[in-house]
Amino acid sequence: MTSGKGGVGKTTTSAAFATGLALRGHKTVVIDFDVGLRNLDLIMGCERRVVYDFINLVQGEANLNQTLIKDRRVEGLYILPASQTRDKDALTREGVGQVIDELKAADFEYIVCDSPAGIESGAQMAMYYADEAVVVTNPEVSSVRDSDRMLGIIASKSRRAEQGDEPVKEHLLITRYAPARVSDGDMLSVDDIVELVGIGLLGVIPESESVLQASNAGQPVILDEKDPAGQAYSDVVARFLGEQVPLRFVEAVPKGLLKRLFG
Amino acid sequence: MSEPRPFELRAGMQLMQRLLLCDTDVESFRRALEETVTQAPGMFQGALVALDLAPLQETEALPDFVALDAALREAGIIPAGISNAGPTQAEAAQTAGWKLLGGQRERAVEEAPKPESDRTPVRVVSQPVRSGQQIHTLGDLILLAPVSAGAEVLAGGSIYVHAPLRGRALAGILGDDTATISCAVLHAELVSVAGHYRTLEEPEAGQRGGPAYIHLDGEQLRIETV
Ligand SMILES: Nc1ncnc2c1ncn2[C@@H]1O[C@H](COP(=O)(O)OP(=O)(O)OP(=O)(O)O)[C@@H](O)[C@H]1O
Ligand SMILES: [Mg+2]
Repeated sequence: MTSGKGGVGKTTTSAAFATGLALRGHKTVVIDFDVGLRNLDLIMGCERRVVYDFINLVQGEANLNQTLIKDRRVEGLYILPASQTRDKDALTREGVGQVIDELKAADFEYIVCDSPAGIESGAQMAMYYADEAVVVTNPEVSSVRDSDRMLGIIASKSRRAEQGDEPVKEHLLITRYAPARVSDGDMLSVDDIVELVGIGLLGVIPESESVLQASNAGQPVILDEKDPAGQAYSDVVARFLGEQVPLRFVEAVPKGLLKRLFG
Repeated sequence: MSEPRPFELRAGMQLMQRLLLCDTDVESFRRALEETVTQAPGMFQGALVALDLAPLQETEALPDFVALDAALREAGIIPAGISNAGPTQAEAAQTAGWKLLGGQRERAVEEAPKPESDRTPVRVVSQPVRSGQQIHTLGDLILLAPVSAGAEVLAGGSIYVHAPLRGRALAGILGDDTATISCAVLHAELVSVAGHYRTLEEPEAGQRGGPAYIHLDGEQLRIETV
């Protein structure tokens, strides 16, 4: 889960996406690559259960069993938290590669990497071993531009690019979408963004207040089946797994209808 | 400094630097080059440089082109080719692996066309050129996917973008004023032919959003809608 620009919803997406994969029976681990900031464990509601972290694991100070946190709500879901105290240079490419190999050997079907913001070493570390990349983008010009940059870096600096393998499969995920603001011309539309970025659209997550409530409560928003953002994340996981699911929450609710419902 | 410098440096168009070669002595060339590069390292690291033989025009003096090539590369400079060479100089340079960039003198008009293999190859790029990326080539450049805003494509020859052009496109960077730019959708930030550039900040009626052909008409850069 990558973006270039900060604060667009990578960690929210990583938590929801990993939870969604596990809910569908796939053994999944979500890794926090944001060394020094540690956000994912809060959103996953396991911050008080962190003993060892990703860097301890990379440096061989703890083993996989000691480090992985098993989610209490969803079977088959594990969290690999980042270190809050360590220097981000402690992550080495070889070390990360070893951990990923170990996770594969431990039968994880999906390894979700929550990238830090930026296009520098931290973000490059998070995308280096990727087979697929979800580029999280908000409907604004600067976010689209940064996503485009990140796509260039994935296409040239990932391991797949370096080894001349099949390229990393790229997916576009638009988050914090507010259809009413798109109609008002304040935000880019889905079509605009798809045209500019030119990769396949995995989904559109609407702007929703319950995202913040959910992260304060340490509950991935996908577990909220009534919330539009939660439902949109479920659709995203289904599409990622190959199902045909129509886009929802991309049209502004007509003003008349709102009036009839709430007026 | 009492001793005359063995070459003069002139800023060329865009990315290209031009070294006017004034003397055939490779040793003094090497020393002076080192000195110049130390003074402005950023300007020369990986820079494309054309070796201009105009100052040797009178004498038709023959420098050691192999040694010149080596000296430039040692200094981190990429020799792009020579210009303004006389016939013997041109032949010697080509034998030493140099490209002829134009302005060669006394080329017989009825001379047979250059064999195919002499042409700078066309570079074809099928991946999108993303923001922050730069693609350059000495010959023509063909792009089959979009050039994003914040990306830059440069060619010694012409540029053909069979997709939207949203970034910067600079054709004829070695000074070829017959170079052109064509694109399927013009949303460029900047276009340039042989150093004559134009930014497209303000949408001008009929100039953006459609297929376009950009060329030099004398000193004037023209953007034609197709
Ligand atoms: N669909 C949404 N609706 C409303 N708010 C959202 C939505 N998605 C994310 N947010 C809010 O945006 C903020 C940033 O989200 P998040 O931490 O997931 O972004 P990030 O890309 O991981 O940030 P960073 O680059 O700092 O790691 C949070 O406050 C989050 O609650
Ligand atoms: Mg984050």
